[in-house]
Amino acid sequence: MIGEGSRTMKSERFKLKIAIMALGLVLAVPPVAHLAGWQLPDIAYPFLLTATGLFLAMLAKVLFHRSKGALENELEAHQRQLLQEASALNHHAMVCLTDTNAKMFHVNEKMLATLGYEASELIGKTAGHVYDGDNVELFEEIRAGLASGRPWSGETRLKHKNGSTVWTLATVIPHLDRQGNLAGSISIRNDITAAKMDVEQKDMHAALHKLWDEVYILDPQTFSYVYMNEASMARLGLSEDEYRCKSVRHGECQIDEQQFRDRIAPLLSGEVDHVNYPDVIGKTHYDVRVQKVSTFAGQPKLLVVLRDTSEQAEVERVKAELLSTISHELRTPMTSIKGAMGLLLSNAAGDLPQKARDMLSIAYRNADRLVMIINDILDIEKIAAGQMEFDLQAQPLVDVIEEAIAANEQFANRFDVTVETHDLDAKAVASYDFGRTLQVLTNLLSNAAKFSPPGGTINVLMERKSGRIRVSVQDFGPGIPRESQKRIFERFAQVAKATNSAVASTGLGLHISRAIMEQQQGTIGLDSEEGVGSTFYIEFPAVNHELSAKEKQVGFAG
Amino acid sequence: MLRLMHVEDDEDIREVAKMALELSGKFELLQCESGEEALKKAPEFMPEVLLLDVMMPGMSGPTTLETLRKMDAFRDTPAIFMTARAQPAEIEELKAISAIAVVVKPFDPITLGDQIMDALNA
Repeated sequence: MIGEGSRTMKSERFKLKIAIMALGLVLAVPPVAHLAGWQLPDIAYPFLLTATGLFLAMLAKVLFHRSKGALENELEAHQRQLLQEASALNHHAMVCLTDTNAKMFHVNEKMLATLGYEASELIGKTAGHVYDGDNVELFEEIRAGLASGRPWSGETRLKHKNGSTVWTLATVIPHLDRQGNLAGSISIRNDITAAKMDVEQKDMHAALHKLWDEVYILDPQTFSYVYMNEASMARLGLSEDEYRCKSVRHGECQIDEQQFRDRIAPLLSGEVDHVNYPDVIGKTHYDVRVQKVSTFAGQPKLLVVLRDTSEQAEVERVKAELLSTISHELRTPMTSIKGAMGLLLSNAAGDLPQKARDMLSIAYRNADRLVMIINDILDIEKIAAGQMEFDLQAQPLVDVIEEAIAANEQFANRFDVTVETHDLDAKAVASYDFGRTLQVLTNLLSNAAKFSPPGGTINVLMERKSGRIRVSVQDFGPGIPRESQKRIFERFAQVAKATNSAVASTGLGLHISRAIMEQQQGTIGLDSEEGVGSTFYIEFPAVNHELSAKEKQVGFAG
Repeated sequence: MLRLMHVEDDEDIREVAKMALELSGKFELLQCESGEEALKKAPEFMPEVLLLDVMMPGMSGPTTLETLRKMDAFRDTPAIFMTARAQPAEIEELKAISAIAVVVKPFDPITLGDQIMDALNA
């Protein structure tokens, strides 16, 4: 191309020289003839004039031709340059052209590759389609600016086809037609996601480093420290250089390695995605949370966060102490109140008139109820604070069932209700706390008695269900409406009135029962139909009988 | 008739317990309102069973028992505590200092005498 252009220019220059020389020769004829004394015939002048005209015309043509060629050459060079610039731009940046309706009609390869789309998926759609979430508002703002002829530069958040965010640094200029009217927009963008992430990670790292909680990152194989934040380094008195060669087994790290290994075993085996446990290091109470995290290098690490819960533990201790004191302070006067009324009702102070006895009975029942409420509230608080103690022993369930029925006998008699047992299997063994399970069964039996019609029957049944033992307490009372069944185990969830309005109830019994069962790896539930009756049941995982017999022997020997 | 020494700082509870124990007809009762008074009167009364409140101003029930245990005459005297703090751990602690039983407050006055007799016979 370049060689050809050069040849064309040389040929033009040669033609120009010939033309100028020819013109010079023609114009030189009259003066030369005059000087030489030649008389040119008159006819020669029109010929000379015509020749001059012809030469001038030829000269003009040559000159014009030369200037046109030069212009074409310049244009060609300019176009070439533009194409090269566009190529460089397309390699470097995302380019998108839109029409007056902001619909994309050109999206370059770079932009398609960055956003994960095919051209056919974007062409014809508005540019807002590729903006991320709330950044769509920014798109509208840019559009409005372009309408008034202003270009826009800044950061925009676009959306990759896979949903991830692509940060871009963009310049958007109005695209004008020949008359200078807005015909759309041209946007040029650079992907700055990596840089943004980098800044974000630095910010997060700084926040992690300054966190009040102690943060450690460990190698899951060696338990050596990969990272410690400032709080961790401050407590252990280690510098960044020092901790890198330490692992949890080093004394100054103050973590019991064996206990740590045992605790995180389910995490390492993949059974759970995190473990959480309380620990005391030195004299400080901590809540320890360990989870697996994947780093950029792809090697999973252990993230350990230690939160100082000493203050919280102290608050809990004070609260428990206060509750204990309150319970004592309330129970002491209740001892006198209930004791005195009980003695009066037993005629210890002589016979009472019937009306006085009736009134005293009301006072006595309500004193009883107050004591129940105090006990239940204390239980609820103990459950909430995780302070309810459980002595789990593998033992036959029959033992606690019989004890509960015996304890409830007086109550059943009072309501004229008979308790019948069915299919009690003396070999059915579960691991349970006797006292607490007795509390649950007593609660279920007393509820059943309260809601049974006088002269009615309560059935206590036992059945085995795929490795579990279920003990059911069935009554033939009014049943519980379906909509109330869901909340019956919630606090203060009394859903029906007992058949006897004088029945004492706190509305906490079933809530406490559920908590007790959950603490024993058991469950509680009910089947009920209005007008038919209710069956409340508790379930325990069955314990291998031989094992339990052995344990029981040991228990007796102890 | 068993000689029973009841140590309780709350006057009303003393009164209720007195009527309850008299009702059973099995006890010769001496009531004291503090551990200090109990220590003073015990050598003369020579109780065969001790019924002690746990939380009392001044000398507590457990301290009273520990002091009595240092006297030869009361080294093995059966002791029963009465407490409003009926946590399993607290009951175990009381049994660990040689109590044979723990009666939880509020107690049933009608069966109080029987509860004491049951504990003694267990």
